[in-house]
Amino acid sequence: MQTYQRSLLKGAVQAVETGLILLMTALPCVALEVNPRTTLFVTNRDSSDITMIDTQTDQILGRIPLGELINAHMAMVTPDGKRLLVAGTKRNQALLVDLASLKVTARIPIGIEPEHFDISEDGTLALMGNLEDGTVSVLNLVRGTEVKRIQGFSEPHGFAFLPGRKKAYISSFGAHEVAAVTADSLEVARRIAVGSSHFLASVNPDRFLTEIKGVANPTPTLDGRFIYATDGDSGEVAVIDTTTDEVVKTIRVGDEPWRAYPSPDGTKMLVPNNGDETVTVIDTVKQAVVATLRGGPKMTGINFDATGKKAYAFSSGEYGTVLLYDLGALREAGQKRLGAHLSLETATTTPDGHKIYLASSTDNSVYVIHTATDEITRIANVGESPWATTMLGAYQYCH
Amino acid sequence: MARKVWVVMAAGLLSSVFGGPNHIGAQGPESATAEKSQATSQEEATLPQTVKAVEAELAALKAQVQTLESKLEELRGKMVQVEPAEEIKRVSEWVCERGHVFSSVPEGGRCPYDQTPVVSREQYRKVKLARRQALSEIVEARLEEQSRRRVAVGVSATGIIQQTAGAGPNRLRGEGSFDVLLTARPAFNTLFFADVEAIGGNGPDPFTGSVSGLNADAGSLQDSDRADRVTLREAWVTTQLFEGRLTGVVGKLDLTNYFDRNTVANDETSQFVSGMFVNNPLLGQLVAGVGHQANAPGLHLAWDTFRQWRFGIGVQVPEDSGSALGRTPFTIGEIGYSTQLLAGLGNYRLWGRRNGGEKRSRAVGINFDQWAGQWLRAFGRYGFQTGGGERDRHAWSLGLGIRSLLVSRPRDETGLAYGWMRAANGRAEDLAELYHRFYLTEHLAVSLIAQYAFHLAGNDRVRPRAGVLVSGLRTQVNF
Repeated sequence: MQTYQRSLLKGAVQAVETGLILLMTALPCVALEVNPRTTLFVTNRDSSDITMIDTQTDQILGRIPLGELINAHMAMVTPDGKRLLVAGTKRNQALLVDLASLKVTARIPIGIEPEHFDISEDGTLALMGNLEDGTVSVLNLVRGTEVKRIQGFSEPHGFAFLPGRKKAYISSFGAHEVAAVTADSLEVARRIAVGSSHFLASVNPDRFLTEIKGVANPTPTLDGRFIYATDGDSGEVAVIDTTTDEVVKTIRVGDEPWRAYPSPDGTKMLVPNNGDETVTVIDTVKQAVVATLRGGPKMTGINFDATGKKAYAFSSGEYGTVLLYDLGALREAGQKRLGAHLSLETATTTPDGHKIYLASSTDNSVYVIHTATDEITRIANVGESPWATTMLGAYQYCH
Repeated sequence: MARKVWVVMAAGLLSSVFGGPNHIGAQGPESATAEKSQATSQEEATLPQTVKAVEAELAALKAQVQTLESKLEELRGKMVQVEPAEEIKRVSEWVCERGHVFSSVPEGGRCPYDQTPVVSREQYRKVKLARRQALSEIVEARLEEQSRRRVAVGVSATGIIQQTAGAGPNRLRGEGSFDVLLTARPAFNTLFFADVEAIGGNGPDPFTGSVSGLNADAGSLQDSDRADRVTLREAWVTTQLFEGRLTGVVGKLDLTNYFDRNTVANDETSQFVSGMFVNNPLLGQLVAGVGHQANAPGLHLAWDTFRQWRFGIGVQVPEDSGSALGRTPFTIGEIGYSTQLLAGLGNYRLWGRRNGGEKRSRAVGINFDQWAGQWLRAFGRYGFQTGGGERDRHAWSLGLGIRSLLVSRPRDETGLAYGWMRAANGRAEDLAELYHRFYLTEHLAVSLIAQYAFHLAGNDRVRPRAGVLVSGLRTQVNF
């Protein structure tokens, strides 16, 4: 009986200890009030956590641990601002973080190597691509469950819900096509071929047996009327009419184009071409190239100021460099080198357009570009390998 | 699953505490009622404590289950091949005067030990990262690292066959050049480059009397006994300063790599083969008999605004010899401007040079290439030379580069150009060229070339000619 009592006591003490530890761990987060409208969320791949930065003061507010070896790739705030959806790439999970308690509230097991995703406008659904097994997980964000896994993709890399949740588009980087998915049936309704790389493959099959650079992203115009899908191998951009899901125009751009980025006024799409290190400017009304500007090596993203008159491309060659463009005059507006051997990842423009936050994985930093002056400041020691940034109400992309 | 475990365990625990039918059945029927009554009153007295104890036990079990669950999750995550990723990171740190280091700025910006001010600095540190890596990723990273440290080797081979017809002798001539290109990075942001070349054959120029060169790739390096010679065509080191705005190159240079450049007409191995369209004939002192600009020790400095303007200057000794270093050098400067016209990028250049050789001439020139739509590029050059004991000379050329309209052949191109120049002997030379280049594979291209020389200026050995037709076939391999 004494042994029994002792074990009971021991259990109770253990329980109290566990409770205290949990409480202490949670305290800093519970005490923190996060305003998702002014907070930048930085996904740190190698420390497997999310760093929160106050965009008013550029101070680090705190970090949300996601779990060991999660190696998250990107995150996105749900439209109601209450939760954060995270792709837990190396643990094959989708994670939901409650932004009130700053805790992971759901770990949804999905396919292998989830990286990119998009959330529907009403915040109920998400499509998350599992790169390794070529599937797309359909997530119910209300219940925190995977409701369906759509098969048959080749490296599903880019996702875009149209406004109103009627339809979504999924691009495959391991193929040269975009799939249109109806949001009601969650089935692939159409597969749309992009570019003419099949001709190139017939001439030089060796090249395509070693590597494919397909469609990184289906980028909708701001009104959702067209999708701009860029094919890396053919150097072409297909303009897809979203009412008919037909390619209405194919535009030749530079070599190895990455993806299209829409200007905030909706008049232009900018395409960084990593092969010939140029940036193509496409007029979305004419659906034609209006300028080809000098770019840089390994460009991973393009952001804009509030007016859409200025653009910033991020290049990671020997130097991490911010390339500046004047879109009014369609010309280069300078370059700013951030440092040697920096690997610049992706960036977020604040909804007011005054600042751009750029993740730099090599030096664990986030660089802040002040768009009025083009001055750049640095927030150091953000976490290990900051990879992606996100903010409520901001244009979202990853690479 | 965890909930089921708790329920089963709790039921067992309650059963053992409160007793079950087996306990009752083990006693005799007479004493059972009394014992039962006594036990019930004892149990009632200790019940609240027992329930609390059970609850505590349950909480402990719950904590244990949670621990087990997290361990299980951990094991699951480690079931695949995991090797901790290793990276060298640039980190920020704050250092006190006496060397204490912090990874974030201490309160008040002062050292907590001695209140000395802290200074922020950047440092490099090797870190082990908790990243699950596939073996292929590890191998790829190692290979990339190795390749950065090696000398990179490129090979370029060009073969040209040309048949002359019309005025003058009808002859078939073959020419080939072979270049081995070496690059290495001796220091950060610094590149070493060397081009070792062998050329066999002089093309049709020695017997047609062209001064601008009907084959700018020709110029045999063979000895008189037909043995091939290999020469060092270029060997230089380049580095960048001021965030890449200033580029410096020093060594044995081909200055046409930096001046009078043109995206449509600047490469005899893949674009126009006539020297008239590779560079402005008045740009510099050509090697006698061929279209080459002489390569020699020199220096090039370029300032790029990264907006629309670029500036460059070059200095080169007048001969490819170290003993010529003290002599008046060849000097050249160029201003470049890029803009958007006709929905396309246009590059415009203005250059001026002074020849430091025996014939000290001066020349200025303009040069442009302009996209006009997605398929068409136009180019033009004009140059004017004065001094040097010669009469004033002009040279100009205009042409088009047309990208393949076939989507299946995006790298194929057709070129058409016409050029005119006043030669040193005072005679005019003008010619047109049409070529079409097919890419058979990424590394192998074939070009069909047609040249028509309306007038060739001739020289001391060959009289001037009019109406010379040259048809040619060019193959180029590039790795």
